[in-house]
Amino acid sequence: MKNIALLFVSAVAMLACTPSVPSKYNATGVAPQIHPDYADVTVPVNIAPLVFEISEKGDDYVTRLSAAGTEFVFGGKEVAPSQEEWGELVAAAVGGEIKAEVFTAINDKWRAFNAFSIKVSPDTIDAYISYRLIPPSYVAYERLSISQRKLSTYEEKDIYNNMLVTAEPLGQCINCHAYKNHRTNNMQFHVRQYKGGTVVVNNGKAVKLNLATDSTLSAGVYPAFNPKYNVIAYSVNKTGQIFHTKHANKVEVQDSASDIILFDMNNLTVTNVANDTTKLEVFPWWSPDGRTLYYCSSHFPKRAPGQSAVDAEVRQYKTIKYSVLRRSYNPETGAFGAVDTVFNAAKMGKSATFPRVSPCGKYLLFAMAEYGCFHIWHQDADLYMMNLETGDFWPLEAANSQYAESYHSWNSTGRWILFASRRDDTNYSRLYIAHIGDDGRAEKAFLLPQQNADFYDFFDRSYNVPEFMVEPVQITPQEFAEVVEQDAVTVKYVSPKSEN
Amino acid sequence: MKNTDKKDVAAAPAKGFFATLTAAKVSKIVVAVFFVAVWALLAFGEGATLFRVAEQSLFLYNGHFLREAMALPAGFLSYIGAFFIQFFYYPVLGATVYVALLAALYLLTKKVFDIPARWSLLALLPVALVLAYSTQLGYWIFYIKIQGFYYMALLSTLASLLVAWVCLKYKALYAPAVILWAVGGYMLFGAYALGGAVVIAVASLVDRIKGRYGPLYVVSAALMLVAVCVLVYAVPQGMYHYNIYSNTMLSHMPFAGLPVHQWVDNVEMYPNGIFEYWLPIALLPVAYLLLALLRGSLADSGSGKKCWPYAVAQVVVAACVVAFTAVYWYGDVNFDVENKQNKAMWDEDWEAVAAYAMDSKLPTRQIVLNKNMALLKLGRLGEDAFKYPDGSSDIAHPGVVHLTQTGGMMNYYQYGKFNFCYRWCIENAVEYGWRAEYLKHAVRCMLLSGQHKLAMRYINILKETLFYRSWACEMEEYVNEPQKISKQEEFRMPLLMYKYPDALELDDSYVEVYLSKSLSNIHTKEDARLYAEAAVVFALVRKDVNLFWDTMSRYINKGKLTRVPHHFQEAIILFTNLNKDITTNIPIDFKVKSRFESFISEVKKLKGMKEEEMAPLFIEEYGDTYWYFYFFVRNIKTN
Repeated sequence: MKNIALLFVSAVAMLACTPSVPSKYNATGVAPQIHPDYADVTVPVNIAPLVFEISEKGDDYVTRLSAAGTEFVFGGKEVAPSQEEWGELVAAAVGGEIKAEVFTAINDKWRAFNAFSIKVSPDTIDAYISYRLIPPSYVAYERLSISQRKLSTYEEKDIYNNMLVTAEPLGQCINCHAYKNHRTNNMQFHVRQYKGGTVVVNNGKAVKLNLATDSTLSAGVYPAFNPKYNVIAYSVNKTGQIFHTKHANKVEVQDSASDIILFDMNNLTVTNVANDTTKLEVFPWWSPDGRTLYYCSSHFPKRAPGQSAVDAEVRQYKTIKYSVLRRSYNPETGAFGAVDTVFNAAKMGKSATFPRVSPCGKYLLFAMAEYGCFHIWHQDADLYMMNLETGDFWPLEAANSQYAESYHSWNSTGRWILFASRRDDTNYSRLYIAHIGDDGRAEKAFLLPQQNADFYDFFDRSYNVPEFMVEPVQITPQEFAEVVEQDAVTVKYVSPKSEN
Repeated sequence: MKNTDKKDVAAAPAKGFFATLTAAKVSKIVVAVFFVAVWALLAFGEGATLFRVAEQSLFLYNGHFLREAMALPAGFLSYIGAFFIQFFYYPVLGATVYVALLAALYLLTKKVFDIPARWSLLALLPVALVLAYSTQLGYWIFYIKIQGFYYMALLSTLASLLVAWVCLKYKALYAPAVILWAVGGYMLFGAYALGGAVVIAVASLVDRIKGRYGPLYVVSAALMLVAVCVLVYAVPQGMYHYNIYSNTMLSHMPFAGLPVHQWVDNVEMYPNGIFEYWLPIALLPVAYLLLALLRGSLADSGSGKKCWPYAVAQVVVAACVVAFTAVYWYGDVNFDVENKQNKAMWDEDWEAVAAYAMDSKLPTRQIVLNKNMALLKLGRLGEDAFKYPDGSSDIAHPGVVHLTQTGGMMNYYQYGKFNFCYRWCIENAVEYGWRAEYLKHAVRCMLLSGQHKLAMRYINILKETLFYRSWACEMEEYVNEPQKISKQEEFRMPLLMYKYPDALELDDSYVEVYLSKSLSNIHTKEDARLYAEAAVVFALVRKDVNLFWDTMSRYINKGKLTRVPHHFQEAIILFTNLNKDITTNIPIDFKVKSRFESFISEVKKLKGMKEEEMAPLFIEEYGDTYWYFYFFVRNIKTN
């Protein structure tokens, strides 16, 4: 008898707690405000549940998510489908959409908002992404990590964390993680200052290298793994920062000199590829066949006699405009061909950075703003796509915002792009993912989902250099720390070979 | 022992108060006086400092904040430390909570170690150590990278005492409790739990050696001590480092929760060493080991006829407690003045900001900057700037203190340098963690520079706090109705100072130098009188005559002047006197002229005397003049 009573009470309690869609309501005729804005976005089938919060006023909330006969009803301001519920919804909606209907009650009077949809693409997305987590600071740094996230869940783990090795007062900066063909048995990242060097994983074996030589400007900075051959192109940079006293961009990160080098992983040698002293060359990237090297280049501002490079740049920072160039690469001889201008942004009075060729080789994705190279601090920076076959280019309007977009990368299938955007609060970079159609146009991007709708409101680090991976990094952070502790292997400089 | 005390009391009911005093009663009175004195000193003597401690901390009432804290070993301790620190926002309330917990520490120490009433002063030893660990901090409140530091030793010692009490009271639970404390407690309380586990193991061993236990019990306790020591070594480095915490270096693991970054890794930055900062926490386990050794031995000690050894012991203990507390109590006047000024600035009480500057005979540059800023707000800068003590006192801190990390953000904000203020909020948050003070600066800077989306981010964070919620809501109203911003008196000066064109600049971490140079270079038509007045005073502080004339001409040319401010007249008469080629038709008051003549005549009388010898002779008569500052306030070092 006791058990039956308990069962009854439990059942009543469950019924009382199960939300149901109101039968009577007034239609508002407008879409609900939700946070993050997942209305009308396109998601892959293998993405973690999109958790969002209803920003409308109300005493009570009910949301119904439905797709092809499957539906779940959620109560409360935060709509947080479980992994199972979400799995059922996206499975039912593949190639179609999940319909979201929001109802709110004020003084027991229900209102219904216009339904919005979440489109579910049949194109799957790479299983993992990685990024650096860093506060949007300028000079100071403390706790930094390069982390990997499984996209189908919320699971995040460190790949490497600088606090494993860092020691005051030197500190340790880490940056520029990169992979060969989205796989993790060939990858790299840099460690700066304390125990500095470049950690390169070559066929699963990690080693720390010193890529600086007397004949090159600096150690390697922005990396690009050749997808076919065992070489990595790097820019080498002398970088500084200076601060806006008023402008909302707040800081200018500028190179007073920058070149492109090539690192041969087999012979542990580096070679200058582009080192014109009148130009700044940066952001290398390879074509999918590994036979063309893309990079950005800007003329250096004119210098008055006796004027330092830094002073000239500070005074004329708005005249520094990068265009996208390319040179052919002969993997047999190691020689590079003549320079070809792919996209003359400077001629348009703009500055294009981070050229990234799509895995199919058809499209070039880049960030463009009025001037400079460090677009994540430029609020006018947007993503652009160029058809390399026709030369046509266009802004990715559905993916862009009025704030900075930059640091983009392609999914291994070329159907998704991942990029950092500062649209949410203008200062903290968050990751957005957009579907790319056959025509190279983007659909509305969605914010990387988290377990709580307000996660980003309180998360005090930016997502930096996001990259797709088809598999997780297997080397543990502690194992990487042991590599970082070791002395770096120094590479040799060899002179560049001419094409003839 | 308790019975003995009761007999002592009962034996003398008819006698006078002093005659009824027993040793136990005296101890109780001394203990009570100690706690009341500490409370009063904290609540009323250190109110501004406690408020600053709260400002330099942050506690958010949400799961994100807890999760973020728990990502590090000892993160929970830091979390609850930050929880208690928030009450310092109201110093009397905060001091009451703090002293109540100190009293709990005292009572628990007495209980766990069976300290009889007549020996209860001994229980003040760990209290004094824990207190000293926090009150010694001074400028470290800006630099310690652990949020709840002020409370951490206190809370962790209380927690360890509770575990010790369980271990000693319930012998059967001893082994599991102490192992659990070492293994599980480490995650929550870090090094403090490890230290506590060792002390508990020693205390238990001593207890068993002293008690009527068989050798088996003693051997098992000894083995347990060995096991705990092994755990203390192995748990953080072996178990947690490789499996849970990929964010802490191996060698730092056993010291989680201790300021090893500042007080070990950075030790070469402190030429005179910082060993003394470790002393209170290093002596804490020693004190408890001493109490463990004395446990059970004190019951009858000193209760015989020959009570003088007891009395001497009590006096020694009391003297140690008082002396240690006093020596470790950071009592720097300049630090106190800076904190009072800071509080007054947030309260928009600018008269008080200026008035506090009088409390320091040799102020820090921060005090001078704050005072000048207040006088500028009050419209008295040119009139009164040099009537206050001036100079650049060394900061009472073992390392370099940069204004950018302490009070400089407020100066940047008030002088309209919102981007620079915001920059240092971010830079400091990166190094030391977000704090309420940084968040408030960030809100105001982004609000006044029109970056409302970013302002809302920080407003929303502050809305998750207990004591800054209403302030955040007030700021949110300005975001919703921005037209109200320019009408608000507190924003008037920062907005007036913000009217300059954008430029790319560096401050090299030197607030005063940057402000001085920046204001000198800004040529703006709008409300330039305010700019120019500040620029003239900065030029006078730099003793840069050319810059003075340049800024002065800008000041004069900004519309009709009824009278040139007093200090500007003093400077004009001084500089035209030093360089006869310079002529000016700026009118100088008769009083200024005649006073300058007598000043020069006094100086001539003392010809041959060194400036540092002359300074004390002139301070009484001319200490309120620019001339005194120009000749006798030398070697201004800014930071």
